Amino acid sequence: MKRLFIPTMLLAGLAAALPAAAETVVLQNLQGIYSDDKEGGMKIPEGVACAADGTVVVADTGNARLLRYHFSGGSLSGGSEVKAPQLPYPLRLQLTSHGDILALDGRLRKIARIKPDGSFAGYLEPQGVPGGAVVPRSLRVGSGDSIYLLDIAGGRVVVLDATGTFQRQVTFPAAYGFMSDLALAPDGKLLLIDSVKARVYVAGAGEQTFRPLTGELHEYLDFPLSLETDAQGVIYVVDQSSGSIVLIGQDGAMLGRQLSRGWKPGLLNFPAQLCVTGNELMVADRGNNRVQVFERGR
Amino acid sequence: MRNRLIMLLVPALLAAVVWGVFPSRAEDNSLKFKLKPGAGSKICFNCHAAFQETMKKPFVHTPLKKGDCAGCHNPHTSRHGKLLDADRSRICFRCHPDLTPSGSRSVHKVVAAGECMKCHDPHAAANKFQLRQSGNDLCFDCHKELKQQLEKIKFKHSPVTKGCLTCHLPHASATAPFLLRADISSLCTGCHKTDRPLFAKQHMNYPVAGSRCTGCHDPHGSNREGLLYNGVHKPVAGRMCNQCHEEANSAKPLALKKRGAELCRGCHSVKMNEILGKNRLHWPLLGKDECLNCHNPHASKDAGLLKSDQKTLCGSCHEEAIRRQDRSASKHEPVDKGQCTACHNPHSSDYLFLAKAPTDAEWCGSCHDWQKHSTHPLGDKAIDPRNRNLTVQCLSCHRAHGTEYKHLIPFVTVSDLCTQCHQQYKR
Repeated sequence: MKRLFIPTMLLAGLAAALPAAAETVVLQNLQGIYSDDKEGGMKIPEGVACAADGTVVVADTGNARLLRYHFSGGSLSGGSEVKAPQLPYPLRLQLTSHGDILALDGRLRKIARIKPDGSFAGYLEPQGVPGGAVVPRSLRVGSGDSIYLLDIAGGRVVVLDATGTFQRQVTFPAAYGFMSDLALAPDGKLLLIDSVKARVYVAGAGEQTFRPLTGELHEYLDFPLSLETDAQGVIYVVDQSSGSIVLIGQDGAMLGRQLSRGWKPGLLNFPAQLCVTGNELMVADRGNNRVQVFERGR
Repeated sequence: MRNRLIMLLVPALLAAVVWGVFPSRAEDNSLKFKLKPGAGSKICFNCHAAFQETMKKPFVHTPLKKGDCAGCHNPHTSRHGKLLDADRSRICFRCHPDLTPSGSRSVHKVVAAGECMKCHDPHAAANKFQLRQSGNDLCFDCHKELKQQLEKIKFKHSPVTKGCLTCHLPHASATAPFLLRADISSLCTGCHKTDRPLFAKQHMNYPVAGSRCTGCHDPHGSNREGLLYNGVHKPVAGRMCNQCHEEANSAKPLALKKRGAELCRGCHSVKMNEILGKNRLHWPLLGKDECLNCHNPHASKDAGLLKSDQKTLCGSCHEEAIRRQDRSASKHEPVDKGQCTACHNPHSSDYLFLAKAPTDAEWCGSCHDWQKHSTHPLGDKAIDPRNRNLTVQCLSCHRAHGTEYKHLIPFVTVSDLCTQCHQQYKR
């Protein structure tokens, strides 16, 4: 009896410990949004941003406009147009706690601020940044509406306060390839995705430079373009070439690969950006001219 | 008595030293296979009589010379071809373990792959070290492009005609890239004395002794005097170094007058404005090394002062696109031949993927003119049945960089592809 009891207890302990480490996230397609509220079709939507109040903004890049939706009850509704001549080619989006939209423009390579009423409120002009001009490739909004800029010219992430004043910077690691996006983990860590090396880097709250979180993931990622995290710290990497979302744990462990390339609902064609709200994921499915909503099943 | 002791002791010590140095190198297969004395080769030659002739060649591999065929071959059975006693990629390293010192800066590809027999005959040859061919002919057997280049060019670097091994090591280089015997500038300045007035004059009095000479000069030869690469940046060709660098007599003569792309903009302002005015930028252009991510500032053997040919250069970041083409069942010529700019604008574009045209039909149609006349509905009025927000375009059925299947289609069979939309025919 004793000989059976000990292995049984060991197995039970192991089973209890495993789910936290190797929990699988499965993405189930809920909805595809193809147009605005007047049935005007989307064209190569590059960016999507979500807020906790259900606001979802899409960068309808090919139509030089933003679209505002509301997410509730598992579906998106609305689709009112926000158009500003100062934002001719919106790429990546973020929302502040006040509902302002921060949009990176591809042609101007500036970040435009759009007020909740749709009016243009000027470009973000970083103040007091050391070491030359900032060329933003991506951005994130953190606590207190602090702004994190991925500065590809300076090889760093520049942290600004809500007014755009320089706070600190975190430099890229040595021998990186090309950094395409950054994300903020719930514990305050900063994450970077290197498209060329197919690698995720991390920097803790007080760290001055990034260090590798994962190895080079060429086996799983063809050309990663952006990344995001959820409230549990799971990292979602958007792989544009394979049309899939690769999931990585906070410790850098591979958790799986979801979705694949295609045209039908539930498949992705050169996805560009995603956002997480509650238990749902919105993906800017660029090559399919739509935004898709996925539910995270576990 | 004492002398006799020394006479006995010295050879014994020498034997011990030799035994101590070489124990792991030569496997005593005579003992291993319990061969009778002399049986290591004599028995083999009974059947392999042709080896008697082979052994008449001037350079014979030591084990064979010693009659130790079993040094490399298992006389009974083997899991490796030719009854080799180990895998052919590893067997040579059993006796020659130090060919590639750990941490070598560069290793000859064939050595790393253990393909020693590409250069060496394992038994005997007419050339020293049992090399299969003598001199540069051996190297040119693989490096055919270099051979062709050298046949055509006007000015050859004299060490190349003397022998590749003047500058390169055959197996590995501990300290230098490209199997070079020393770092580039040290190797060059070994012959080209930098303190001579002529050297200074030719380099406009700039202190280039420590610079990487191959940034401007082709070490093998070229059609331009001074072995400059065939493509030379205009200011270099005009000896106007001070157009980009500080004056030669300044405190920092090699320092640039402006940083990165701003410097290039001084002359290429029209081009730069055109590039930066498009919707989509090739982001590395404003990244770490800006223009120098892809271009050489002084000279290059590739058009447009590119750092290397397009397949290598673009593939250094977009490796997956090149890999996909390499695996593809059907080849798409521009990708296969490294003509990336046939379809993409490398700097910027108003269209997705830095495309040269707004639609696939225009994009692909610039080469595949017949496709514009296809009977299959194609273009802006043909809605894709799989997705109401898409129209049927070339890339609705094909992938430009290739797939595992024929005709660049992303499905195993053509019917799998067609029934994506024509579902009524699906079995």
